[in-house]
Amino acid sequence: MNNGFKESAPTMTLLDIGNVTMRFGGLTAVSEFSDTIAENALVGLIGPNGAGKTTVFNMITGVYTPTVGTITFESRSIAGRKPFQIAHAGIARTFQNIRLFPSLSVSDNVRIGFNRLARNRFAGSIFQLGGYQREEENFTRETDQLLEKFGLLDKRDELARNLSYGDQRRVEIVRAMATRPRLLLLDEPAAGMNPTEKSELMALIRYLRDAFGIAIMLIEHDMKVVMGICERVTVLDYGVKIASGTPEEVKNDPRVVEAYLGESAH
Amino acid sequence: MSTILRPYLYLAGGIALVLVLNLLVGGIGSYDQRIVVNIGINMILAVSLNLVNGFTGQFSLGHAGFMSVGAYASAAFTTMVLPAASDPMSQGLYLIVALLVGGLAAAVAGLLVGVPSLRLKGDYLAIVTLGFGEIIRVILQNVSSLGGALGLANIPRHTTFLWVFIILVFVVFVIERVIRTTYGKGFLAVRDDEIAAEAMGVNTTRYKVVAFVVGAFFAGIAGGLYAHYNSLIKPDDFGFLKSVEIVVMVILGGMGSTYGVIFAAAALTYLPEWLRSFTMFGIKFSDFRMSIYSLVLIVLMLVRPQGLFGGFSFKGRRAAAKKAPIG
Ligand SMILES: Nc1ncnc2c1ncn2[C@@H]1O[C@H](COP(=O)(O)OP(=O)(O)OP(=O)(O)O)[C@@H](O)[C@H]1O
Ligand SMILES: [Mg+2]
Repeated sequence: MNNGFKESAPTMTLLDIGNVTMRFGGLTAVSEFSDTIAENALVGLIGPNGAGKTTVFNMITGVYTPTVGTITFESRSIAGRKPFQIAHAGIARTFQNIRLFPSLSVSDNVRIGFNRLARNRFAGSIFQLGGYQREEENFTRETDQLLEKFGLLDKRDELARNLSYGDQRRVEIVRAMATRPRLLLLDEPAAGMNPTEKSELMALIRYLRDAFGIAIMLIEHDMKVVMGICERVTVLDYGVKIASGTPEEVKNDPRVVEAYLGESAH
Repeated sequence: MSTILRPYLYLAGGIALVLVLNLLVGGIGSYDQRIVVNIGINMILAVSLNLVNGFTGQFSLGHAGFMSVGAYASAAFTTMVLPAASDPMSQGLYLIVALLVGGLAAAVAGLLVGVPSLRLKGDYLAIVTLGFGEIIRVILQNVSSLGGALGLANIPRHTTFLWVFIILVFVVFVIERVIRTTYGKGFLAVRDDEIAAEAMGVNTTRYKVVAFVVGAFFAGIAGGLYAHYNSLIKPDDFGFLKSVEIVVMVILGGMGSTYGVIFAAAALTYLPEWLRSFTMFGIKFSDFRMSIYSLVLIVLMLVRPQGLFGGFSFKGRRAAAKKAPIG
């Protein structure tokens, strides 16, 4: 949908994180963090180990409710909503430690994304009358289409737990896309990948953003990946936002350099 | 078209098989018939518990409790509400209505127990359901209008081999069918990874409650069949050991494998009968039956954690649950 009209219109804020703090007992994992993600943006969230990046994702997706602060998505408050409700609202994610459904096939992993759209619940699934067959066929077709787009169609019947590591990461992204998100959160998608896989992944992420018109925020330790695809980068250190800007700006920010030097000195 | 009809062909085949077996069963002795009917009732119990413990991955230890609610509710209905029936036609009709009453009563109990406890994580459910089963038993022991500890007697014997196995076929049909749909995969997603399921938009609490209530409903029906077969029901028929027995059937059969669970239910119902007179070191088999169950479980966990037939590992789920913090 990148027509001239849309580009000339002012970019809309999709997600607005307002001053959130997350405490676990005595530990403050994230402290007074604010950030926004614009529609169709591709942004990075970086920082040393334990900086609180995943915790930010967990707050956005409702796994944790922020101790203090607001999160609004498409102008609606989502802080404190249940994870499944936030998924329905249009936010999907992947996990740092891959969390596929190991005993389900690749296609069933993806199909779960359509679960919320299934009008047939328990009783409907027993009797399977009326439009039931058509609905299931639609889900099957859409699942296959998604798998095909990501080159995974030949793996559709394999159990998720039998996939290679790189395929598991890709299936997790495809599965997230099946929920038809407006915002996709990727937690270290390049972890454990070799250079070839990494450049394929970068192309894939750009493709997702352009072809589906979604916004993407990714957490990533590999600076080549982050600097290569993100338009804007936010940096966390000890739960505090220390910088935000274009990859160039952030790279040369003395506080960022110090935070990362501090890490490599450990 | 054939894919639409195929499940119904299985259903028809199942019913036809039951009808044929019914003719054969007519020819065996009443002692053996009793064993066969008990096998059928235990199959219904195990298949329904498998929806909760196997497919949805929740550890319920209170299935006998729901069975007792169904048994008492349906028996109270036939003995206190309905007039006596002599012709098979109205007996069958009475049985169906009584079973529905029992099933619904158990489903309501399932809802009352499930809604608060299924929000809790991990093994709380096992403790809460265990407590529920015991509380129900103690309550039944003290309600004199239901016969107290002596039990409820003179329940009309409406249950037959035919009814038990026709109902089993339907229970299997319902569960096996639901579990294959886009909706039904939600149960498996909850079992495999609750956090990922939520992130994919699956209302995991809702799924757990549905599994629990449906499981309780079928357990209630099994209880109703039991009551109308034995004519006498006592609170102690539905104790903690009965719940354990059903859990063992599910685990042995392979959590989440309906046919494995059916086989395990048959084996674990028949073997004790077969070994009834068997003694070891001067101890009767029936006295160390539970020890054998425990032993079988321990060995199974060590050498084949996915059960005899299941593809899903019980051990694996525990390991996944430990994967913290979330990320
Ligand atoms: N559920 C929790 N309970 C207690 N502490 C937690 C919890 N989740 C995260 N933390 C702590 O919060 C801090 C931030 O963790 P987080 O996982 O967000 O870091 P991260 O930036 O994603 O690190 P990494 O790059 O290693 O993934 C860490 O000190 C972590 O131990
Ligand atoms: Mg992290």
